[in-house]
Amino acid sequence: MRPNKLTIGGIGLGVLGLLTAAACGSTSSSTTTSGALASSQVLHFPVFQDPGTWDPGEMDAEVDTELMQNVFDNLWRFDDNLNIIPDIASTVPTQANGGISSDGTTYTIHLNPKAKFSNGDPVTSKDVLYSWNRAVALHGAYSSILSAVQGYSDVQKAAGSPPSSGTPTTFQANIEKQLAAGNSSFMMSGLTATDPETVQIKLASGCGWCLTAWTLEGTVGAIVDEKVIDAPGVDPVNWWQTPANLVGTGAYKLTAYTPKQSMTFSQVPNWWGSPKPTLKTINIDIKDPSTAPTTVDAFFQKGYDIIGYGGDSGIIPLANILAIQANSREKANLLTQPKGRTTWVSFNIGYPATGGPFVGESAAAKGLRLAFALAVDKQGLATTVCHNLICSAATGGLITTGLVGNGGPNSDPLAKFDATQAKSLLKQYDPTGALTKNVTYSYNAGSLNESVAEYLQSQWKTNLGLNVTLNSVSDASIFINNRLEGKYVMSRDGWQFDYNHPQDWYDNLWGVYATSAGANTSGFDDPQYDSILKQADAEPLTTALPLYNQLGQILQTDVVYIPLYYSVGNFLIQSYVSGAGSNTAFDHWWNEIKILSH
Amino acid sequence: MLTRGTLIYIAQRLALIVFTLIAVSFLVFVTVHTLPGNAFESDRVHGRALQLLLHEYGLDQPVLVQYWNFLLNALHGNLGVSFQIRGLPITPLVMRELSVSAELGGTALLITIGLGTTFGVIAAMRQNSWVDYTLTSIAVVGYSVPSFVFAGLGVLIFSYFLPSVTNGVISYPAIWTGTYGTLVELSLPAIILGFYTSGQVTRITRAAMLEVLQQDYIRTARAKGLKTRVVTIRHALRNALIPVISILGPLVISIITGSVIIENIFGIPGLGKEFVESILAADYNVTVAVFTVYALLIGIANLIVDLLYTVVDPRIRY
Amino acid sequence: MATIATPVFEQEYAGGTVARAQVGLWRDGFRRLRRNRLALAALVYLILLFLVAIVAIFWTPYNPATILPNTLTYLGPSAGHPLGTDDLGRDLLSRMMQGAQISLIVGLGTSLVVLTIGVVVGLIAGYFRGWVDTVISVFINIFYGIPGILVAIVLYLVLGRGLGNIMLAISATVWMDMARLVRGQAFSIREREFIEAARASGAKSGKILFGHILPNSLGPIIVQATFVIPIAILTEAFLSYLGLGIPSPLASWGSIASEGYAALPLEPYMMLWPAIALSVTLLAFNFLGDGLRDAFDPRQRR
Repeated sequence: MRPNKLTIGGIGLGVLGLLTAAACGSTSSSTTTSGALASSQVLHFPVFQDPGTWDPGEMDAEVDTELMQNVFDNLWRFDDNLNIIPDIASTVPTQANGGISSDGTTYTIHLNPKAKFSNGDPVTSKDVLYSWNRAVALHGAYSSILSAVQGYSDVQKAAGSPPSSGTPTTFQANIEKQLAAGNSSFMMSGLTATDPETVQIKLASGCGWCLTAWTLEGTVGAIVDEKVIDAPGVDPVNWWQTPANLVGTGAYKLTAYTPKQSMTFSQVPNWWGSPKPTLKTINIDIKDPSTAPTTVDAFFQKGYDIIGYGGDSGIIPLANILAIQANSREKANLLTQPKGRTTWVSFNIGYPATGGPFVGESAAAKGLRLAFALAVDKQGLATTVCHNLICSAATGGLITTGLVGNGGPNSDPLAKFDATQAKSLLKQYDPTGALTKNVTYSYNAGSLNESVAEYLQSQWKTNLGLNVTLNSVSDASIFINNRLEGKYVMSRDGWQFDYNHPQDWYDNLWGVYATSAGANTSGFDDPQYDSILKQADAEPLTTALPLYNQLGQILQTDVVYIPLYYSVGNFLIQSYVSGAGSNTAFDHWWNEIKILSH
Repeated sequence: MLTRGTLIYIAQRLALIVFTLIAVSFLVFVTVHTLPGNAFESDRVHGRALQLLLHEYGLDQPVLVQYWNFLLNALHGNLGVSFQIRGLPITPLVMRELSVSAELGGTALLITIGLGTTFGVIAAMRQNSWVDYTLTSIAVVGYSVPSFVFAGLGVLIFSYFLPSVTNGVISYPAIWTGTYGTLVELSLPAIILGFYTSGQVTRITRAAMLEVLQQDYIRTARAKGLKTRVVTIRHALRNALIPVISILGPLVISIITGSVIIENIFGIPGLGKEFVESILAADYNVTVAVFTVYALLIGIANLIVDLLYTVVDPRIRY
Repeated sequence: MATIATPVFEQEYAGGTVARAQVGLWRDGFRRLRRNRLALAALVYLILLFLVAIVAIFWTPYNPATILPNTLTYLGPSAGHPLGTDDLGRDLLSRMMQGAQISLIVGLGTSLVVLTIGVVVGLIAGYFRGWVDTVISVFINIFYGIPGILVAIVLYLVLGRGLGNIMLAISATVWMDMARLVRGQAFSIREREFIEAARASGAKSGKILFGHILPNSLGPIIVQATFVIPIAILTEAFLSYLGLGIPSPLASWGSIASEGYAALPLEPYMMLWPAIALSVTLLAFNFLGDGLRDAFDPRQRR
């Protein structure tokens, strides 16, 4: 297995799950729902990546957030059906209960007085303010979740100009210093604490997606203990590496961490939340992705209880999956689950400097984009490269199946495979072949990406008669950087959903917001798209959804992408483990897992 | 034995080691820090956020300034912090991994010397017989067949074939548990690594033994009527071992190089695996630290071996 | 096998040629080589491998990069695919043939580069002596002090992926032995009378170096160059195994082996072919090198 160090926008699938997972043909794991509990309630599983950081203000990678959602809590969380339910907040604010003002700009939140940190400190509104202000100041990967709060950009500007000196940790140390001193330019004006149990949030305008985004577990919305982080001698950069400092409100706390080797979490005694945890200890081994085949072996020798947690639902090699499926005894342990992640090909539409035949909105550019799109057999790709086991053809639009905004099977006209029409389009718009002579497809190195790239290359050769050059970029950060700056004519692109709201996709990938954030791969921007987007973002989901669907149609009419596949995750679960994703919304809450006697 | 000449020699060698360390760390540091790419950029971390992270770790300063800070810290034993695991101090991490590599390497070295000398002695005593040819061929096989071939074969046999044949009764978990693994888990990688470098030892021992066996004093000893085996083991062996000591330095280097390969194949959490991992993750501080530790290791190993030489062969003086 | 490395300032070169007439040495050497059956067998195998690699330039049973429908993936040996297919349905025989090309190119190419660097550096150090020699020797010692594989990886990353760059990267780890060898040769031959005579008659350094010293040291140099080849092939195979080597879709034996490792539960053959190919090829080069060394070293007594 080639190490794949790309963690694209990773928030664990398990955080939010998918509604129609069962309908998508997932084979269920054989977990027994009744039975006596084992005397030893210890869960043992591997992850295949080191934690990058467990600081909720900075977290980004799926492996981190999936683990940390058991250690930290947000104000709310998602239940098994993806409804928002209270967590540290005692209620979910709505217009009906007065939690949200009639114009939708003011949120009043009451905290659960029982909530406390694992070290006994009670949670107060000051902690909420500290956590959120800090997260914004840190410019973390997900700080944009709080972008609708008044004062957000002021804080980012103030924190973004740290005193310049040569030694490191000035940026983060400075933030802690200013927040401890109560410097108001580091605190969002729209975030206030009216009393120790109440928080008020003021937005600049109505926001239909904000509550959903703030509920995203394990990241920016999570509440941290200021007393711990600001204690003397605690390094603001690596405070999270010692068990004594990793203090959250979750059901589990860190008890041991050996970097690059293992970590151990233990139940928090007398935890304030529910359901009360059964598992006493979680032992996690950090392994190298190249040892995935032998780790699968170890699973069948009962060395591990689960494989696939920690964001590693794609870690089991295809060969192993095929072998497991052929073995009736082993097959019962395999759980296949669609994953909220889509991969597609982006065209360079908006960056004339980069060049290529796809730039602009002329009939020729659009026609050529369509030609390339129709020339790819998407079902064939899923069958040949993935054996329909680790991916499925993306025919319902770019938002993955099971998420709000997906159009349903075969609803995406760009997912069609029509070689004849593709060829005629090519002849029509590039009769001499001059425009499509030197087209390149760029992608980041990784075994699946290589296979997909080679498949695409052979499709364009067979169905269009064109030689597309493959450009494999071995360094992921270079690839991402170039892709974000629009330097590729055609590139592999993709997105893993963070929360179940179309705004997550349409804001971040195309249009004015993506451009201003420097994240618009295709450079697609269109006044009509932007105005509909702004409108949709302000409305609650029920009225916003048709608007978001319009955006999807704009992208399809304009042939902004070639849809490729939705990811499919595979998990191995021992039969004596109950509650591990055996429900429809595949989640990774450790306090729902029990070990049955075996 | 610890004469003035020896002390001067040691001082000279230590000075050379320090010079090598500085030169190597400087070259590697500058080289990797001028590589494009970094450990932070992702779909969500770019632009201003990325710049602030780079500033946090001092990565926006000129390379020479960064190296100077690194050198000053290194002299205090602080090898910097990791980018991949943000802010993780590198020194304790590298020290721990060094001990794991030493465990693997040390075991392999024992196997190498044991296996190599045994084969070499036997081959020499049975010169030109089929035993000789077999053993020398085994030696060549050792350093010709890539270690990942043996590793793959080992996994194939012990993790797939044997369990399927014995229905899971005999199985070999080719994964490493904990920091130092268990004896069973250490055995396969150590044997492969040891076998890989034993070929050189076999050949040297055999050649030395052959030469010694021709010597006059052996003939004299035999003429005196001492039994062949006594003659061999007592007289010949001691002198034949000297060339082995002479290549002990290069042998250690071979083991170190081989361990990089073996650690990556078996997922053993040692320095070699750390090196490849850090390069792939653009965690350049760690790369430089590992490189420097290796250079230090080799320098000291060579020095110890050369000093050992004086113990074994009193004719050598510095 | 490469001559065992020891720090330069510790001892002089190992081995040397005697002042025989050049022609006699070659004739004698080849006669001895012919009697070494193992080396001959190795030579025959390598010639065959070379032929396969040349044939592969023009023809392989299938295109090594063609992806087939997934009913044809992970196949074992069959009539249509004598070596089976890999995880994408690509024909393994074709890929192994391409791998042969790559291994030979990398092996021979690296050897040539090492030859060039080592000879030039060694001649300069050995002939001019003095501070030039000291500086070069220090340089050589520094390189001896670091594990070669680390240098190869770092250099390869810096230079970028590609066939030429991997040869350069590997050369940087093995040139020292050649330089040391040539330096030693230059040391000893420098003192001979005919060199004195040449210098007295006004011959320039360059002419002496390349016209006299080099031809007289050809034997050990060729042997050393032969031993570089298996090291280069092995290093490239290992880098490809790690995913750091020759970029896809080019098939190197090392990358096929790494794909084979992932496919072990399903199709053990995929790992078997590159394993056998690498082992036999490396063995062949090592036996050939041994044979050459024995043939050209007149001190060897049979």
